[in-house]
Amino acid sequence: MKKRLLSIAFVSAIAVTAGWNFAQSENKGNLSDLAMTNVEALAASENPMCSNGCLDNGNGCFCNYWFPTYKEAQW
Amino acid sequence: MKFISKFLSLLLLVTIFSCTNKDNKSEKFQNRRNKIVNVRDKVKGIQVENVIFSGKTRLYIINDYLIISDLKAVDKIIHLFNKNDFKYLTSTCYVGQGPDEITIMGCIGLDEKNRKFYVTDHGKNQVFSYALDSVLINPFYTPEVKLKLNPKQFMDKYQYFNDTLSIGRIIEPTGNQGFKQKTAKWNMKTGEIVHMKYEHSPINKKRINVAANEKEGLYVECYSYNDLITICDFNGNLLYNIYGPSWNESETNKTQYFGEVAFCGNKIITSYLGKDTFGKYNQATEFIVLDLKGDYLMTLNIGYNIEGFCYDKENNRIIMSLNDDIQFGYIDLDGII
Repeated sequence: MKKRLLSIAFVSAIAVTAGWNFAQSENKGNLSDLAMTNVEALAASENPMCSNGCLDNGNGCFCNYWFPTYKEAQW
Repeated sequence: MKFISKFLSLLLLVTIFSCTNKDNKSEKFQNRRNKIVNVRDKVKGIQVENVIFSGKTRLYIINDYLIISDLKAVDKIIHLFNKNDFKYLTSTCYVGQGPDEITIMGCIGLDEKNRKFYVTDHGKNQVFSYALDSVLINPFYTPEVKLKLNPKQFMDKYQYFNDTLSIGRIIEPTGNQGFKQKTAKWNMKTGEIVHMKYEHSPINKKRINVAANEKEGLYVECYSYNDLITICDFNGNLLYNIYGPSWNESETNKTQYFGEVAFCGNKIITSYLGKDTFGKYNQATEFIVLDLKGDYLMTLNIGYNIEGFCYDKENNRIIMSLNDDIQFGYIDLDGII
């Protein structure tokens, strides 16, 4: 009985560790994406008036007003 | 019972055949656009005197004049030149919050018959009317307000034909940010906007450049983020969908396809990139040339980064704003297309 309980505990521990590792790697991916978006926004010299998603140099973007020279953030 | 079954089968076949037949006429697939003509050595630089421009300009031809609007200028934002020799003539239209100033300049509508041009201010939601001859002789000229725009639905880039008909792309804000873009007719007298009825249904987030040709009764939509061109008549009936080699229904603005478009005589010319523009410096360096049925004729490899362009029909010439070693240049189309 003890052996059975120990083996269940061992398998559960492995499963939890694997799950935690997977979740960590997922989180790392999201952080990386977010960082990339910020880098891209900075590279494209984001317009300070439109911090919600208009970048410099484009074919038009709406942020309270229509800005014909701005570009939409990546979608 | 057998008769009904046969009749239904026949009806189904007829329906399928008629649908297929219609698609074949209007749906064009261009899997290769490989007739590339290198014309970099034919591009002539324009030496602009007296004016220093920012990197964001738009070009227009009205009568004998070339208008260069500088969308990021901090002083005067509209500059006029002789379109034949590019000699500088005058500048007008101050940027600012004052009563006769422009806060956020948009498109310029060209009324050649009445020698007027119309400047949209997206900050004040107004269109100002400028009398061309007055601008040329009076450095202190102040414009009149032509009409007010509805901030919930307004014309962005357009071509003016008369006071009751302009065709272009409209903006419909969907909140403080985000917008829909469509092609529409605009009556400047009443302010009424009527949507063109054809929409390419698989694309939900439509981003386009539009050009219209009154003589042919056609308008063309070039999609910014899909390899697609649509040609319709002035009633909004679809004539042709032209799918390029990179066509797919993806909903992302990562890859830029078509830029500005113009009818140049009996041809359609549009700038084309087909590359990622986020995090990389990529700008169109070539024009795709199509006939009025959307059939591919050639690709003109300009060899310079094209910011924008306009067509001078009297000289059969494309005048370009370039983001390159030269800021403005032109190419004569005689003998090329």
